[in-house]
Amino acid sequence: MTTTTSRLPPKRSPQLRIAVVFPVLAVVLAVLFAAELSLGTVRIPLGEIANVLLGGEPSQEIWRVIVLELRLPRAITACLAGTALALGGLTLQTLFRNPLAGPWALGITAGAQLGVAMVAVAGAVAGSAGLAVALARLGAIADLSLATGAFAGATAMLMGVVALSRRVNAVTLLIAGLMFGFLAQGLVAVLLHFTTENQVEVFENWSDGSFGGVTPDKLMVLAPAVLLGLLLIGASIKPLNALLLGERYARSLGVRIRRARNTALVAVVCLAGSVTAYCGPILFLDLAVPHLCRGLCRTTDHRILVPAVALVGSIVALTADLIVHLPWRQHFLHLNAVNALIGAPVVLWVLLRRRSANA
Amino acid sequence: MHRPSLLTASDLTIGYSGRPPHIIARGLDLKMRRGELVCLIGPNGVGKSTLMRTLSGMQQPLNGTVRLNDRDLDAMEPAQLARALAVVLTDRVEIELMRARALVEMGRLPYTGWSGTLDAEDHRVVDEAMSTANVVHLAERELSQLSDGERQRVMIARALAQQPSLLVLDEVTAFLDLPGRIEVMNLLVDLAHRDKRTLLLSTHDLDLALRHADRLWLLAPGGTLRTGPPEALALSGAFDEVFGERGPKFDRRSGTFAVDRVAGPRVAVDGDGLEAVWVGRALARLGYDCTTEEPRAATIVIGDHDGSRYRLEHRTGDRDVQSLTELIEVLETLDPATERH
Repeated sequence: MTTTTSRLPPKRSPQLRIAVVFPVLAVVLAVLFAAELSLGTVRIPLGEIANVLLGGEPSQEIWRVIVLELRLPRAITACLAGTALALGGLTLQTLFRNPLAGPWALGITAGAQLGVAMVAVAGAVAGSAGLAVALARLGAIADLSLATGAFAGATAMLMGVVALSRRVNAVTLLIAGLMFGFLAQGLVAVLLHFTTENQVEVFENWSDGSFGGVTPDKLMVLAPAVLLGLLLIGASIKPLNALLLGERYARSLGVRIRRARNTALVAVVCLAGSVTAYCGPILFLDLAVPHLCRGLCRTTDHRILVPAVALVGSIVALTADLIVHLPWRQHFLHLNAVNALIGAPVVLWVLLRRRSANA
Repeated sequence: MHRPSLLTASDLTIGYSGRPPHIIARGLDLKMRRGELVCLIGPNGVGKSTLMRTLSGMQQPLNGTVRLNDRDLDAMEPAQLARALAVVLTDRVEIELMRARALVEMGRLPYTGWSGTLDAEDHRVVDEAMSTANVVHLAERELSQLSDGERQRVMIARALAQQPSLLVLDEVTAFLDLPGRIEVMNLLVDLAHRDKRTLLLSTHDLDLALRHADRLWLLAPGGTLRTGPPEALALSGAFDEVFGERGPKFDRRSGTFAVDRVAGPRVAVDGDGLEAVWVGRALARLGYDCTTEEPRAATIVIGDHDGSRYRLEHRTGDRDVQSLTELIEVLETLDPATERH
C-alpha cells in the first residue's frame, strides 16, 4: 500500500510550487553573491562592501581594489558563466531530445578550447613573441580574437554533433561528445608541445577552469556575448516548448524548424563559446543544472525553466567558486573538482532513473 | 445538402525529389468535403504516409498543388497552416514531468505571441477540446502515468485545441493495444459523426474504415487511387485488386476480410438468432463450410430436444448436447478432412 501511495504525484499545485521556488532562489543567489564579495583570504565586512559599491570610501583603501577589481568581476563572471552554460545545456537537451546533452558533455566546450589554443598559438607564431606575451597583451582586440577562436571551435564541434545526432542514440552521442572532447584536448596538448614552457603554464591555468581571470575589460566582451545568447534563448522559448514534442509535431504547430534550430544553436555557441574563451572549460554545470530545475519546478515549460536555470546556474557556479576560494590553508581544490562533486551524482541519477523507467 | 470542398488536390504527384525522382503516385485528383470522414487504406509500403504528409503540408508535392479552404498549402505561413490543419501521428510522445493539460495547451501555440502565453480565450478552447476528447479527468496526470490509448486521446485533444478545419490522423491506432484502439476509435467516430468534423484518417483497420468512413481512398501498389463510398468500393471488387494475392481475401457477402481457406465439408445450422451466429462462427473456425446446400456432412439443430440445447445429426448417429462448449468438443473430435464428400 505504501508503494502505491508513494507513486502518486504530489498534490501540491505546480503554480504554488513555482511561486515559492523563485523567491527562495533569488534570496539564495543574493546571499551567495554577498558572500562571494565578502569572503576570501581577506574578509571584508558587508557594510564596507555596500559602501564601496555605492561609491563611498572604505576604511581600508585596498578593500576597494579587492572588491571592484577582483571580487565583483569574479562574482559577475560566475553568474554569467553559470547562467550561460546551464542554459546551453537546457537548450541542447531539448533540441536533441537528449537528457544528457550539454556544451561540455557534447564536446562543444572542448571545441572552443581548441579554437582558443589555435588562435593563441597562431598569434604567438605570427608575432614570434610567444604565447605568454600574446596572452599578456590581451587588450580588447586580442580578447576579440580569442572569442572568435572560441566561437569558431564551438561552431565546428556543434556542427559535427548535429550531423552525428541524426544517426546515433542518446548515450552514443554523449560518449562521442566526450571523445571529441578528449581529442580536442589532445590536440591542444600537441599544440602546446611546440611552444615554450612559459606558455604551457599560462595555458594549463586556463585549462583548469576559473572565474578569477576575467578582468573588467574582458567582461566587456564576455557580458555582451552572453547577453546576446540570452536574448536568442528568450526568442526561442516558444519553439523550444514545441520541440519537446519532436520535430514533426513542432512543425505542425507552426514552428519554422530550421530557423528555430539555428537560432538556438547560435545562442549555444554565443553562451558556451564566450564563457570557455575566458573561463576555460567548466564541467558538469551544463548537464546537471537543467535537471535540478526540472525537479525543483516539476515542469518542462521553458517559460519557467529558462529563468530557473539562469538562477540555479548562477547559484551553483557561485557556490562552487566560494568553496574553492574560502580561505583554505592550501589551494589545491579546483573549480571543476567541485563541479564534478555537484554534477556527477545528478548525471548518475538521471541515467539510473532512465534505466528503471525503461525496464 | 451543400457541402463545399475543404481540401482539393489536382494532378498531384507525390514522392521524393532526386535524380531520378522517386515517384510514389502521379496524377492524383482528390477532394474532401467539409464534415466528411475519409479513410485512406492500402497495403503496407504503398505510400500512404507520403500521401498524408503531402496533404498536410509536411512534404512538398513533386507536381500539382494541394489547396485547403481554397488556399495553396505552399503559400500559407506555417502558423496559418497550423490554425487550419492539425495532425496526430504515431510518434510516441513521452516527456517526463509534463502533464496532460500542458500537452493540450501546446495546441494553442499557433495562436499565441512570442512566449507562448495563453489568454482566457485560449484556456476556454483548451477546456472545450479536453471535454470533447473526454480527457478532462486526466488533466493533472503526468504523461508517463497515462495508458497509450489515453495518451493518444490527449494528443487528439491537443489537435482539437488548434481549432483546425481539417484533422489529419496518420495511423493513430497503430501501436495501441486492443482497449486503447477501441477508445481512440470511438473518439474518432464521435468526432466525425457527432461533431461533424472533417477527418482524414489513414488506418490499417479495414473494419473501422468500412463501418464508419463516408468515403474511402484506396491506394494500390503502383500508385493508383480508387475513391468512393465504402459500399461501392466493396461491391466493385476493388479490395481484392488492391490487396492482391498476398493479402486476406475480402468476403463481399459478410463485408469482412477472411483468411482464405479451402471450403470444408458442408454443415447446415437449423435455427436463428444469436445462437445460430455463434454456432456458425465455431464451424467456420473449425474448418467447416456453413451452408444449407446439399450434400452435407451434418446438420446442427438448435432448440429443445428432450432437454438438450443442440442436436448434431451426423452419419455416425445423432448426438444431443447441452451447451455450445460441449458441441464444440464433439465437433473437434470429427476431423473435417475425413468428412469430405
